[in-house]
Amino acid sequence: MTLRRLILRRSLEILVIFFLILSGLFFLFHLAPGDPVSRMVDPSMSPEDAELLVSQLGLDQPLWLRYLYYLKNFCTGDFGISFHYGRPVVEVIGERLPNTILLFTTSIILSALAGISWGKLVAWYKGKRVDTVVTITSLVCHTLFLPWIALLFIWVFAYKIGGFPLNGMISPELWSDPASGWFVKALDILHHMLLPLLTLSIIHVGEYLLIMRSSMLETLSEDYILTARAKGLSEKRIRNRHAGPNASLPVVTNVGLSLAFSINGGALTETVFTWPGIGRELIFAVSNNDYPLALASFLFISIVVLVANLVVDVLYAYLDPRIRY
Amino acid sequence: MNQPARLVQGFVFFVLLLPLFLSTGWAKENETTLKIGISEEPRTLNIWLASDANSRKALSLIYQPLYTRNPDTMRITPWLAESMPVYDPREISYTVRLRPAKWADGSEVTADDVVFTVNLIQEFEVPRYYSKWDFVRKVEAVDKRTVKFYLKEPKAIFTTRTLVNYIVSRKEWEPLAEKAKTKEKPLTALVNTKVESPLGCGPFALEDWKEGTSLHFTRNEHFFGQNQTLAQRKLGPHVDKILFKIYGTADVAILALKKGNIDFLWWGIQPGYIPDLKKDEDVRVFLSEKSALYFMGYNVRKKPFSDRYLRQATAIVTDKDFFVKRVLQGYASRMDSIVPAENTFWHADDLPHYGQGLSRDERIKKATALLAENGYSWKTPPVDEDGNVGSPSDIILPSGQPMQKFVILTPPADYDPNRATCGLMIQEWLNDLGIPAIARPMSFGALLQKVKGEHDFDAFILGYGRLSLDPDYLRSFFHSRNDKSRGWNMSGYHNPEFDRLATKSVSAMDPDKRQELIHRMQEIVMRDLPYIPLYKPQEIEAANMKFSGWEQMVGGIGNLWSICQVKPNE
Amino acid sequence: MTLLEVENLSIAYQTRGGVSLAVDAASFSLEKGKSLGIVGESGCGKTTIGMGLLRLLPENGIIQDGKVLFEGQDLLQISEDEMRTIRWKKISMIFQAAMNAWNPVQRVGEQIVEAIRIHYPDYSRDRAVKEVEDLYQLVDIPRNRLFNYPHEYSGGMKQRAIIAMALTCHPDLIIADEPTTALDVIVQDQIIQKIKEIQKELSIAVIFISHDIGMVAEVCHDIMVMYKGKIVEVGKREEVFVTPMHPYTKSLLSSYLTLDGVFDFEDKANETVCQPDTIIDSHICGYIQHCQEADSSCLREAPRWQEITPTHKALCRLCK
Repeated sequence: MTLRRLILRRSLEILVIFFLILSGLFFLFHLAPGDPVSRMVDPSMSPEDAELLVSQLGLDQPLWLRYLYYLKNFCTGDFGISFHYGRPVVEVIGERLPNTILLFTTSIILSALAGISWGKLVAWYKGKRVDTVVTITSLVCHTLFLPWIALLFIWVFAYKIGGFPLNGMISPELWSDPASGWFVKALDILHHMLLPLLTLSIIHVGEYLLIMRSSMLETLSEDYILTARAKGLSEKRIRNRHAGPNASLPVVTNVGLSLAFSINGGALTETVFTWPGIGRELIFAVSNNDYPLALASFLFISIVVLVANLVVDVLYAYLDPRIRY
Repeated sequence: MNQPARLVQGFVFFVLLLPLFLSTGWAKENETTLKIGISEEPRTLNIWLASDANSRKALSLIYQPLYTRNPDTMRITPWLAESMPVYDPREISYTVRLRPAKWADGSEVTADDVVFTVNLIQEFEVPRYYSKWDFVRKVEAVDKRTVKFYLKEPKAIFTTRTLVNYIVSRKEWEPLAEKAKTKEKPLTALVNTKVESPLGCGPFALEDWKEGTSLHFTRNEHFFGQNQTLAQRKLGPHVDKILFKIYGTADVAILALKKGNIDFLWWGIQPGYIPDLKKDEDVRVFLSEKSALYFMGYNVRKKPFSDRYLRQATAIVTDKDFFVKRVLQGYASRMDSIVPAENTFWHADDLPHYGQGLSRDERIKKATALLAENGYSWKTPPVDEDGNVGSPSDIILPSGQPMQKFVILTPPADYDPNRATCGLMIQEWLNDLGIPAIARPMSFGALLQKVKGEHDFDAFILGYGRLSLDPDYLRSFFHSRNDKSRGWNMSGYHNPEFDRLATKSVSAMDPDKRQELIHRMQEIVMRDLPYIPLYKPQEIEAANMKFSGWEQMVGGIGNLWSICQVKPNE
Repeated sequence: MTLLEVENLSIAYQTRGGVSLAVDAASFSLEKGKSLGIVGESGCGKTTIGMGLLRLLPENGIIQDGKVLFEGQDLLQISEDEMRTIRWKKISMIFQAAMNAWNPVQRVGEQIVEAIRIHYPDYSRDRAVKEVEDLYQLVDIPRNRLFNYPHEYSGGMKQRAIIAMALTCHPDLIIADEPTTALDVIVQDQIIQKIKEIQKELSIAVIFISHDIGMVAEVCHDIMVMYKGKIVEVGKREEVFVTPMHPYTKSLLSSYLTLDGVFDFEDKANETVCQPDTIIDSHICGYIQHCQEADSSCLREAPRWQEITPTHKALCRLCK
């Protein structure tokens, strides 16, 4: 009951935030100093194309009217036509976004689970060698340069050792074979996903592990841990049933926060692995001056981040009954 | 081990096992696939929108032109046409006879399709195509396989620039065009029409496009060139399928090539990869000449750059050979004309090779002498009375004023490191003469806006990676009529003599006569130097040893001749 | 019959500055079904004793010496696994600061059921729940609150639930460590009465640890006073309460609200006889700085146990 109220309230907040983002993007794109036409119009574009763009953007209209049109177009799901692909932007994003969500959610879930369970163990063995080694490794992982690690993985796992595809999301040969069933295809995607997943996860695991470790150390000094000990519970049970869930709360919060910051890393990963996701599309759109696609990519990425934050909030409320009120 | 950790480990273990049962190939027996790596997703398969290299590569397998380039002579040779066009100077018309050919769906390619294509381009004024057809007054289908083009006036570029354009099928495009005409903006509607399976008559037809991953082509059984001998080449194709795989980064694509995941990288490679690729026994590196031009341009609308001698002095101190050898590691050649030397028919040989073979001191001395002769002076000249080269003070113009600092705009290093470096080196060489130049990298879009759009600049370095083989660009670059915003004459060069020759060259229907005009134009340009040609990089490509029969021509092995001839090695 | 016999128990903490002794050679015993109160100001080592008995000292706590004989078995010698079977089943605890003694993200009922099912793995969940319900009745918490979260309980309810949890496995000994601190006075009294009642009814031995001698006196059969890690006076409730011998006990009692409601305001704790910078030998009486009655002999000689009655002893040279 109260959970539903929480979701409702957070959804309303998200709507407000999204409206602010929507407006912010509009003003960023339109109000920056200088002539918007020259900024948005690719100079190599032919005059006809440029003119088309100007009228498509309604740049000949007053600002407030443009803003209203922009809102109206957004509400009707009309994001315009991508300059580059010559197709509705929604279509392009509709193809790319699911791939990004697949890669991202899997990576976030995996790295959070791994970070939580390993951080928990490491905190338990605080001061021992395993703690020192893992903590330092995590710090290193956290500061790794992402494209470098991505290329390293490709080189080692896909090239030198082999067994993994170099890039992409599917094996074209396999998918064009009518004999392949859905299961084989799903395995194929999984197979392709592993290296990008590993790249994204290794960056995040370190972060989550460190948070979990310090949070766990704090939790272990709580009174209810003493209670659990006095009850005669085994160390393992105390760790997993009592300390773990409480200590993982800050990690959950952090997952929500770090999501927005991991977009750039995600875009780089997608580029290196040629993962057909929205991050790669965003980089591509920005570097190709594909203004409608770039704007819509920003918007959809913020929608995903906001929704993910809502999920994180709900998860938090589920994990911690105290904030349900 | 607790629940989540076990889950994670289970997952990792499971995925590690995946290669075991996925690695067994699914490739069918007795079917050969040529796998080609490309850099980015093709933009579109709508031929009217496709302007990017990757879309053009995909479409080149499907849509075919009437004439194409002969790989040996680089002259045009009949392709979809049966023979060379017949020119009738009396009515300014060309008659073209088509080869018996079929579209991929089995229907016949007729003169009607050609007429339809031209009419569509003219009716919609399709950008990039219209300018090549706008001087065609009328097209008419004489019979099923004969087309006659009536021109408004004689145009030398008609055969070399116009007849090499793709012909589309009326069956495919008529309904789409009709639909577009009903829209508020017909051209926009036409250009934005989604084309999922383009209908062509080329060696391959698109079977499937997996967005973001790959494009599959299967052999077109109706391909007109199959088993024919064209330009002394027996055509295949000898592969059943072509697969385009998309790679986002060069590093990964190179790895894929070395690993054998792809057979050919249709993508220019940076020289840095060559030593590594040469070590690999399974990979063959192809170095080909390219029709390209990298140059420095001055804004000759402005003083003091309007002075020809200043530009000549710049050309003298610019050590192109040094740049080619040191920066481009020899995978390039110096240029002394706007028309690349490989374009033997049009390239003029007897042009000044400014500063070639001179040492640094000799260059400085020669340039100083030239400037001094023409009224420039220094408090401390670059060369003292005893003939020693030293560091000069700032140069003083013939008008008596000191020369102001000026900027050489270059693309940024991440866009093209070579051009950015070149700018810096020219800056140093000019400083040796006391000329206060500063090289400044600028984002490509902004650079074009300043140079091409606003004409607000001093000097710039740009390049054309794919210059057409017909030298008509000479006229575009330097005809005074093109000195306008977004016009091709970026330097703002005005020379009535040049304009006259250029106009004449357009309608010179006799190749020899046109050749002479083009040579004259090159002489003028190389004397006045609105553009100083710098270098021309080689096209570096690599393919796997599994296939042979690549056709190496100007521009590299990535071309339709190769596609029609490669075959797997036994 | 003796349930618990502690002999010479010394516990120290490893700190940055070295090892500091928290419990110094404590010896005492407890009969089955009886209750013992340990009184002393905070930091005197009383909680350390309680935790030491269950071997639940923090990481830096070291049991240096001594024996803890529980039903004849030395708890300091058995393995950790064996110890776990003793915890809660034989010796349970009521914690100080019940607010934090509950895991905030688990339902209270679950946490109690967990305690039962750990020690009686063959109990079904329903059976365990049934037992908890009975115990809730005993501690006067409505049954329907069983599966609430800790934050939904009031302070008193949490403490009563802790008591219920302490009783789940029918232990022989309950260590109640400051069970009423942080509760308001009325609730404190209810809780004390409840513990007393249960103790009597179920005849469970209780070690009652508190800084409040009056409260201890209300519940316990025996009282043990601690000061700076040492037991300074032991005796029956009446003996210690009515005829305190050790000066420290006297000063504790002086600050206690008497039963007739008149506060005996004789706080002498701040007066000292010794110079503050006098170096105190660890052998001599630790209370000497605050002691009213100390004389120069206290500075020279170690205190001795004086037996007042067979059950009443004090660690003071001067007590007669």
